[in-house]
Amino acid sequence: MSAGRLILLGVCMVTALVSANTPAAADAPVFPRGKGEQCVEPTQIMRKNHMEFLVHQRDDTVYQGVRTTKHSLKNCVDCHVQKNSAGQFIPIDAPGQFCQSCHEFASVKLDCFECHATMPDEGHAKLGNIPGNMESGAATLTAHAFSKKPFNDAAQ
Amino acid sequence: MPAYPSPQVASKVYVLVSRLKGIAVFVVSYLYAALFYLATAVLIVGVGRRILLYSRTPAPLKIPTTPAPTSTPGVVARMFREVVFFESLFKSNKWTWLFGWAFHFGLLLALLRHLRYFTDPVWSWVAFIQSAGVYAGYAMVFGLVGLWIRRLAVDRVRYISAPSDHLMLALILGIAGSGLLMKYVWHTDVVALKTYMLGLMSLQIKQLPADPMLLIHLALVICLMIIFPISKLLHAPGLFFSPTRNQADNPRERRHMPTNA
Repeated sequence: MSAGRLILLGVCMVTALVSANTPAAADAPVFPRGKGEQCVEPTQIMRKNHMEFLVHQRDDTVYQGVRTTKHSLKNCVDCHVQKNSAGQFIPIDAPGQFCQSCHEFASVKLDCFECHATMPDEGHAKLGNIPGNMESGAATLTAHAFSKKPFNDAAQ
Repeated sequence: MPAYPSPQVASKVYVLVSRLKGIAVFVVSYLYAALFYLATAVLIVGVGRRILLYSRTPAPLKIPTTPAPTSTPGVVARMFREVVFFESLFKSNKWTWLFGWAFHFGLLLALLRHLRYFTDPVWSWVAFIQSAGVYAGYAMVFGLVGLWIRRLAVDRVRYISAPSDHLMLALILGIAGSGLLMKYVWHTDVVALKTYMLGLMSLQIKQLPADPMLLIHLALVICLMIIFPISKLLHAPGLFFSPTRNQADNPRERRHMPTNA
């Protein structure tokens, strides 16, 4: 077999591989709507620029100490997070949820939630309000770390 | 009289503008779809034809560049070093090698990174190289600028440079530059773009996000695809058919049959 035919075969194989992996009609990802009528910016602008707003807000907050809420990640999560049938929050970076569905589709890594919370902080508030534990959630967390009990017990 | 239009006029203007926008998006989506189908056909048929032509071109002389390997596995190893490391270029000119190698491997990584727009779900290794792929864009620009400076600043190279040599550099630099500008300055809706691309692959025409930088990027890529089979860029398949590289140094062991490459 000549080199030319070998290359042609290779091209055909790659083409076949790519087309075999393409679904017949892939639509844009479907994800749950937010709570309000309208986002803090027009939808089309958010689709393109949400990461810029978040980074800008972070710089304003961390470097300048200007703490506004318009573009805060916490508010994004509060509005877009969903609850499961048991009434518990589903992490917003879980498959099919608001953030993850498009990030998965476009293969863009979500690194916000390596530090930030993926759901509203009601759980933490509960953790801090356990009677007899006046300090904060931190003490509870420490106690549980030493007691080796499952973490979820603290919230109940 | 108020200086601004009445609400009735304003709403009519708004409706008119949004209709015009809708028509523009429709026209642009179909125009780019037609151009992409045309460019893909030209690229595949054109390069395929060239490869057939190359494979049928006789190599009458035994002319491997010596010192050359004496066996077929040796030739395969040499070709591998040539394709992956640009070995002969490294031996001949370090600056050209540096810029050329940085550009080509940036290009490879950037191309592979773009597979995310054509596969659903995205293959795991394509997802893995996404972050490295961003730096590939910088490597491309670094290499291309270096190669262009060489072409302009080195007397002997400038003398033998044809307009098309400059055009190729400008075209690919335009593609890399518009890509980086989209990544860092004027973003586009990548989800809508991917939907459009997957649509094209299954012969459905969806809405293309009509952002100027995206339209420039795609138009330049279409130009590149069309010009590829009639340009110096054919050195990509051509390298494999170079008698000086693909022959073993064995004329005494085996008689050279000059019918085929």
